[in-house]
Amino acid sequence: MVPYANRGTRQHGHLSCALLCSIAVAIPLLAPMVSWAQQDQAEKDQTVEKAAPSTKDTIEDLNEQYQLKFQQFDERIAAYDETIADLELSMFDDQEVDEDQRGIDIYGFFDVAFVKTLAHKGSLMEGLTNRESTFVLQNTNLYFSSRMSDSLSAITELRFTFRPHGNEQQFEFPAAGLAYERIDTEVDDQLSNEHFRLGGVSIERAHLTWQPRDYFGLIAGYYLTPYGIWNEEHGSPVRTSIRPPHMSVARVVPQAQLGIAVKGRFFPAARTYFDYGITLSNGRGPMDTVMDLDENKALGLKLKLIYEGKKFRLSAGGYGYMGDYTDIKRYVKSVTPEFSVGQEVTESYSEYIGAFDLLLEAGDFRFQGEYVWRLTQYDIRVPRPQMEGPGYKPDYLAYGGYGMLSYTLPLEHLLGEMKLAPYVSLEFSEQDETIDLFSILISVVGLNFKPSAYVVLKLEGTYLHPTKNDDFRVAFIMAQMAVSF
Amino acid sequence: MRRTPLHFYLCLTLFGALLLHTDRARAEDPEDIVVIVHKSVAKKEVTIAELQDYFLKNRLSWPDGQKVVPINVKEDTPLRDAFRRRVLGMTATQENRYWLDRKIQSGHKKPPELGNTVKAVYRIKGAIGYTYRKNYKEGVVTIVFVLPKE
Repeated sequence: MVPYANRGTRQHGHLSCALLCSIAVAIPLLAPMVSWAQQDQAEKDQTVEKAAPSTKDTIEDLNEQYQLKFQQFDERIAAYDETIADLELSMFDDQEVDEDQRGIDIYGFFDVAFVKTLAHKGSLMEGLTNRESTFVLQNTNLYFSSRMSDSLSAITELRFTFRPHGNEQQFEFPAAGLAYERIDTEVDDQLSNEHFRLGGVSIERAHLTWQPRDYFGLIAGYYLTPYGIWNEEHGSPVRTSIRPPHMSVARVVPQAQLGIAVKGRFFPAARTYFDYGITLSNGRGPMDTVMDLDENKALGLKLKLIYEGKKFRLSAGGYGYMGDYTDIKRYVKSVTPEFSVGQEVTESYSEYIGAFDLLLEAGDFRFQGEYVWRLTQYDIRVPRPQMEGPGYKPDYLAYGGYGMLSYTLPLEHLLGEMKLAPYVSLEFSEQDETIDLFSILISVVGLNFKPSAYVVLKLEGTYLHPTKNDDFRVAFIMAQMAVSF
Repeated sequence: MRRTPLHFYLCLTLFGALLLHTDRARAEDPEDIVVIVHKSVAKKEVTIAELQDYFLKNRLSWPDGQKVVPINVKEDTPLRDAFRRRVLGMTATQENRYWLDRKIQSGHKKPPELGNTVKAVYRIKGAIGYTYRKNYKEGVVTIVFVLPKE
């Protein structure tokens, strides 16, 4: 009997033989099947290969179609964008610009000053000037401007003042029987019993400007005389110093004129301007802002060359003027047999004026200077005022000029956008060369501080020294706040 | 055969680099500031000095006589600040002072300020304004000056 272990081994061997025999039989049987399967796959592959080119073409066609569609979509989107933009543009209301440019514009400036006058004790100036320190509201100017069309505009500038309240008309002089006179405009409202003081309004300018081209413009109305720097800067917030040059106070050149003017600008080179102006006006007269009392109109010519670089600015200009001054009186010539009125010229002279100005800005330095000259030739003379001496007024020459240097301190690190500029000025003025009293020298030292765009603070010391009469020496200490609004 | 010297290649390289740099500098950037004018304006390019003249109202008409209407973008925007600084050479305070002074002297007021200068320039004859290149619409207005992005 075979032990179990051996029995198993023997059985295992039988199984192995059976398996090998089965495989041997199966292989020949399965081989054709594998071959068939391979043949079938190959056929399938061939079919796919045959079908592939057409599918690829189809995909490419579809891709092209989609690309075309995308392109069409892009074009349509772009077209829609354009349409939307057009709609937005058509909906844009340029009224905003019209109103901004063409509406009436109201603005202005005012200034308040504090003044202390220092005159020698016992001198004539001590009596003439106010001994006490005082606050003064000097200018309250209101502008109304409008642009009616691209080339047509108008401007009116009114200066409101408390004057003539307080104006002294006459000193007391008992020997001549004269009493002290001062204008008092105080009135009261009878219903409320409120008291108030009437002031005054001065028309500084009121004119129409037609400017179709840069090189040609026409002004009609009451306009500022286009001369110098001080007169064209015009407002206290713009000017560097407080006190006007004496030549301006003495009105050597008329400050404004009533008539017409032609003005224009040429551009000879980059950043360079050549300005001109021709003025035709009533000229000077006792009532030139109301009517002219002679037929001779005053004629003026202004020429100015300006260069405005980034750090350097230069302008040099001149203004020439010639005109006649005529004063008249009307009188009753006869009552019978017919009532008639005659008129007589009481004063008449011709004046010839030349004014020159120079402005130089280099970095933080600024120099401005002006010189004016006037020759007055009488046709019909009038008696001299008592203080000017006996006799009639002779022909005379008036002239004057000033130079002012200012320097904006480089304090950006401390003051930021605020500007602090000390300035000095020296001026001479000969208001009438035939009178010693009117020959003066004026020295000015000051500080100009701009804490914001709208406010300018100034502090100024002025020493006025007549060259031929020490009795007229006087000094002023002034502080001013000028405000634009 | 004579050999090409080394410095020739060096120069060539530098020149190439310069060309590339120039090309890069000329590349249009959406943040470029473009100065645009109304299509009626015949002038096709302006200088920076002329831009100052137009926007500061030192020059009031185009060479053909048409009125110049400068248009600013709104205050307190980066575009306005950049234009004011780079073209006018001013700060906001300085520009304010300039216009306050001009108003007192001659009655000229500062240009209007609008949100969409492209629309405004498109609509107003003689208008000149500025915007970023990305806002520019070709055919609507004309570019006369380009301030490249800083």
